[in-house]
Amino acid sequence: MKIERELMRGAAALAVLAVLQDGEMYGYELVKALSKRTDGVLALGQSTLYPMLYNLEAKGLVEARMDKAENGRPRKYYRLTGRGKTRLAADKSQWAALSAALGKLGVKPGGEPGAGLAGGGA
Amino acid sequence: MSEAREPFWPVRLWRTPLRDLVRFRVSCRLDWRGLIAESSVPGQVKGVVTKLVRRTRLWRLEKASIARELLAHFEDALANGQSPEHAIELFGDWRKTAKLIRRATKRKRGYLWHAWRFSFWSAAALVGCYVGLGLYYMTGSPNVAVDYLPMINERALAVPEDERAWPVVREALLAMGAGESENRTQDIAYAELSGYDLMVSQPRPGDARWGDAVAFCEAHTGPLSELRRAAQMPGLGYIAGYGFYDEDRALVMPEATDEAFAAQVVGAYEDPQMLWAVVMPHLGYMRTCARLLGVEAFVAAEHGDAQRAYTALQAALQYGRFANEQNTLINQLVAISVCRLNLYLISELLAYDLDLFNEQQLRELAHELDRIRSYRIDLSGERMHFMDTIQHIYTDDGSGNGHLDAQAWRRFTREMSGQTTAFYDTRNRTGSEYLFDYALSPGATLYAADRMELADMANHIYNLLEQDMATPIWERPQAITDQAVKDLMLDAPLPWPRYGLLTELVPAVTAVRSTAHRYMAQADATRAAIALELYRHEEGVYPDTLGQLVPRYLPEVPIDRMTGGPMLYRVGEDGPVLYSVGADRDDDGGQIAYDPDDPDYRSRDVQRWTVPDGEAAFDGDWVLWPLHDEREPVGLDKDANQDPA
Repeated sequence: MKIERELMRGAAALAVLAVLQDGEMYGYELVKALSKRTDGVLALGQSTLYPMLYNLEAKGLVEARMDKAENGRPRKYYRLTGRGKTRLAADKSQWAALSAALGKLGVKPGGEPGAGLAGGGA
Repeated sequence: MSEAREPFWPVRLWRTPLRDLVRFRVSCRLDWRGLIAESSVPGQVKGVVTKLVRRTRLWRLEKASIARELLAHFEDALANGQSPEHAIELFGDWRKTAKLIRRATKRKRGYLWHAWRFSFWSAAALVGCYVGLGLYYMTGSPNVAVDYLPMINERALAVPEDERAWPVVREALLAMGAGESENRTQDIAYAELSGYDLMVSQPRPGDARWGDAVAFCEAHTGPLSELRRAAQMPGLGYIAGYGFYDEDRALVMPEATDEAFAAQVVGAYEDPQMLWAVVMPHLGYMRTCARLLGVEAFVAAEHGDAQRAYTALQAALQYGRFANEQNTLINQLVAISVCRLNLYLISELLAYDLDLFNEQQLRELAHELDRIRSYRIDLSGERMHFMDTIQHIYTDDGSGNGHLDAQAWRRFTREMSGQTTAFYDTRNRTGSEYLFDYALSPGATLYAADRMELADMANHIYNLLEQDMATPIWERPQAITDQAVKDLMLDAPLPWPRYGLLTELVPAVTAVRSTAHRYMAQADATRAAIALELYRHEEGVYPDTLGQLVPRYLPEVPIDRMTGGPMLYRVGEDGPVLYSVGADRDDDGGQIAYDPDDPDYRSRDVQRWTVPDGEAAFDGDWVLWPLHDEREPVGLDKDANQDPA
């Protein structure tokens, strides 16, 4: 399913930070992990991933280092900084609150998007 | 397949970061193109990466880092079984990526770079604004819309050409040797009167060289008669212009070469000139004529020829009026100066012989003095000068406004400092003048008031000046205009004030007021003294009070211009004394104030209206009649001038 651009705008950075909380990754790994763990829903356009990583790095939420990958080739690995972890925790809370609020409106996981709004308590 | 040749060493140095070079490592880490070229990815992928990296327009080290990461991305994609075309397709819009990467990477740069970038763009914005401002100030030019010269000359132009006195005066002066002296200055120093500078002193009986003056007078009865004839004409009719006239050359520039005179002649410059460039050589000669006629009056008095003395005195008085044919302040000050000479002349002639003039002559003289006493300073010419200056150095936007034209301002200041007589002569600009015109002028002109603002302020200041001139000094000792001009200068944040032109050109009103009122006080006293003589002619004695003269001999009792009360009067051994209380504001019985440090000098302190803070006024009064030169012995020694034979 394709997510609307406006919805993705806030979610993409959170998704990248969430994936990185499990450990450092390089660019292509991140692309694959996002696609696999969200069943392709949050598969970022690859062209936007790298600028986003640079932005997160500029904000001090992630940091990068060069290292060799399993295949022996040098890769640029990204990992969360302390500030990144704090930000991730804050964003999670906000998304949980948002999700709960939407749930009260009938927008629930597994339901048809908008069904709650359209059908009320049916 | 041949191995790629290693680049020449200067190229390798060029491709190595400075931080590596200082460690003696020629790493070529800046060579992002080489990095892509050496990559194992297919050509179409290399092409996309190359285009993307190049489009970021980042620093070479940043480009290399991005190239490395993108190449790794595509290597991984290809290793996962994607075709190059599919990997490129999944990657997305490389142009958009380049733009986003550029923005994000620049955000990552250090504080120093951001500070530099901010400074650079701030400076660039300032320079841009300044250049824009400069272009604005290069637009427009002054437009000389009003020719004030005929307005300045209005009275002179009103004199019919064949009734103008100036040609007669000029020829009479030339006939007396004006312009012939080897030692001449701007003013006349006649060969026969070389002991006198007629600009500064009046030859009178008792002087060491009085005999020369008498001989001169007797040798030039014709020209002196012409001076008297000229005085009876309706007006002088000297038309002030931007230079001298050909017909005046023998008088005003007798020793000049043709070339030198051509540069000073009226019409030498085709461009419009400022009123400041107007020359009025006739003014100095008005004083000279008055003094020459004064010599004649003294000579006549010595011979007991009252009618000739009176005619010479009347003619001398007329030269004061001649000096005032233009309405500028300088004309009025010269006119006042000439009239004051004549007041002294009257005083000294009467001191010489109280019964020199008959009753009829005294009445005529009184009538003439009544006209002098009603004189008021006219500032219309000063306003014209200022407005003329504005129209020359400000641009004209057609709606009454404009900005300072920097070139014109510089030329104006240069002319005012006497460096050139041609206002629009810009043929030989120096390097610094070019710099001023094109680099500094926008800032300077931005700071100066615009045309409308300056004109409004000028009108305000000139209105104050007129109020000051019309207000008696005892009511307002300190001119309000002086304070207003000082405030204008103090309000400005820079030494060169916003209204620089105005503060430079407004006359020192306190000094002008003092001069005008001092002159009028002396005229009042002289008029009253003549009334006293008329009284004495009829009654045989002087009156006890000035009130006894009113209304038969005097329309009203003159005022003491220091206090606004009646002028003080007493009769001493040598006759009547009319006086003011002086700067110390108390009655000292008509004793002239002396400077205790210079007892021989009759101090001008009494002529001051206010005494500066911290200074004491000299004790004494301001004696208005009899009038004597402050540095000369009082009165004439009648016996010393008698022919020994």
